[in-house]
Amino acid sequence: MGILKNSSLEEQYNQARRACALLQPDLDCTLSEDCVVLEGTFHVPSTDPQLAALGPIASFEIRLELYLGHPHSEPKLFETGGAFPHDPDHHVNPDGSCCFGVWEVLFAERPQMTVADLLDGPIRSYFYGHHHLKCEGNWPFGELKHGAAGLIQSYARFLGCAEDPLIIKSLIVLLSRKWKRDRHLCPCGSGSRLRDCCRVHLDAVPMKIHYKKVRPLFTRLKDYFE
Amino acid sequence: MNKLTSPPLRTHDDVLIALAKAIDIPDHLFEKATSRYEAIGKHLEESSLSQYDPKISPQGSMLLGTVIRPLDDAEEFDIDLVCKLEADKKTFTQQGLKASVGEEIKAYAKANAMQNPPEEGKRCWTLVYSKDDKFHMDILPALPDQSTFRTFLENKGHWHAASQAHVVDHAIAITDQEDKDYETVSEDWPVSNPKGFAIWFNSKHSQEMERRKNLRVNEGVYMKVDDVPDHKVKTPLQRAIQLLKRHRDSMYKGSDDAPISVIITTLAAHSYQGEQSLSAALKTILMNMEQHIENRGREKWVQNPVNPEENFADKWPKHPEREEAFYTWLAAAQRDFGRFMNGPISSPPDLFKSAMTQTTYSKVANRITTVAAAAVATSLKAETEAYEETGRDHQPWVS
Repeated sequence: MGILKNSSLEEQYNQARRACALLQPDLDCTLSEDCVVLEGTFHVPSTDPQLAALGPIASFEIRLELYLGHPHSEPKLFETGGAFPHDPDHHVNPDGSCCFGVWEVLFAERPQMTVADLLDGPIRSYFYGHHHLKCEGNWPFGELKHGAAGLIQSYARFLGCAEDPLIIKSLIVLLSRKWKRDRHLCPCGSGSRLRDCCRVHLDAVPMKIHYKKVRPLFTRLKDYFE
Repeated sequence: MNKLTSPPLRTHDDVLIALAKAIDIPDHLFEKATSRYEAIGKHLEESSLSQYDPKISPQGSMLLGTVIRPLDDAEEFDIDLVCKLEADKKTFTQQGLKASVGEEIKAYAKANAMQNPPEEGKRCWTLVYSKDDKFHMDILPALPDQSTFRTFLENKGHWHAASQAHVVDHAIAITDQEDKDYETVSEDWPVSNPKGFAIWFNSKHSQEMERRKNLRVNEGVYMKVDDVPDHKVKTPLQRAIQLLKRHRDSMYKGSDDAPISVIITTLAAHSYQGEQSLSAALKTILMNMEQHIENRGREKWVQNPVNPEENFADKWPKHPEREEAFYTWLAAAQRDFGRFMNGPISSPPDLFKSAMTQTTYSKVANRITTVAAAAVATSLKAETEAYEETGRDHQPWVS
């Protein structure tokens, strides 16, 4: 599967068209001025081959917008058939877009995420979740908290550290190379150097994540903490 | 219907495999064709050409395991063969080699009281058997050409390709009536390397082939892996190519614009990622094959993997309609296989049925059966576990 990194919108369109034809044949793919739009019926196939032979287990009307630079830019997903209420409890953002996960974490976990990976991964999982919610009354894989708390939860799991905003912030600062190790002031704001302050907490968390992976996290985090 | 040989088809994969088997050459015909060309080989060994140690071997889809039945069941399978003589280009002109091999093939046909005399084509001799045999053979006269081919690759700067002795050693010089040097003694013959291509092709699915052969051994069908004949095992790559070629045939019905098999085969082999199921292989292949077509300036290239100087799509600039036909076919194949693989197997789209042809589809349709609807109601727990196993268990959030 091709990598979309640095591809032009037209290349993105071609990849999306191929992915739709083979994975979601009832989605129409069109190219607009600033994004590729996938619109129509999204089917949730069963993972069991014998059940998949009966056809999809659930279907939803959707509109998916992929912006230039995908997967570096966050796609927007909308449920357009009124299959569930558009409120936070159904993981729909105030602007009406569906929140199928924390994009920068999904992207960091899979930096070469293609349109096919997106359709077959988080979006499929999101709509399977809704189908499960309708049938069983709960989300099959659990759900993240709303707002900043959910962001912290997701980041903490990705980084493998405690759900502590201070630790996460410091860790991301460290990993994003925004500091020079021995001279940087501790990001907790104590005024001390990092090595004399929170270093002990930070040493406890994994340090093997490439800084490029945490760059988008750092960007969103700035919006939340500054 | 014998349940042992025709089990019910319960999944998309079952149906796709059954369709591919229905268009494959049946074992008895494969074995008959093999014994027929071995008989020609024996005749040549004892003929006036015996001093050149003539050898007959399969090439093309017969060698790759991707032969398909013609669209019309009444038509014959096309078996492509190479007849290689251990001689050099000073011994024969192209015309001389073609005539010498032709004489012996004619003698063989006469000795075996074959009704039709062999027919001469641009490059090969065609040996037509009786209607009952359901195949004809195209025999391509050839001479070994490894040293000329190696030098040619080196002169063009393809040092890596030239160093691949296990591939280059199989290069052959072939005859072509339209070649400028056809009638004169020359070192400059058309070159080909069907066996080298097969070595490259096999390297693309060797792991899966080995796994499948091991399964046959474990099932107790054979004693050891080496005993399993290649034609008794088909990988998802080979099956996918058969289905794609059938889709092409039903779409273009013999038109000159139809995408040629070697382009489909090369792009499919490049795209295949070792998938173990046919539906997964088809998805990967159809999603990626376009990306293995290079843009070299204004020209599209589908490079021969064993001869970097050869472009399988070299006719496209002169015949832009063929390039267009390729992309039209690819989009149709993506649509038709995509719709089938994402829908219920009991009611496939009409476009898919006609792409496989109604007669072929009807051979498998009555074996399609699905699980009881009751199973669906109890499946959510298993479904959730499967998501967790495959890492699709993402948690939703809201900003």
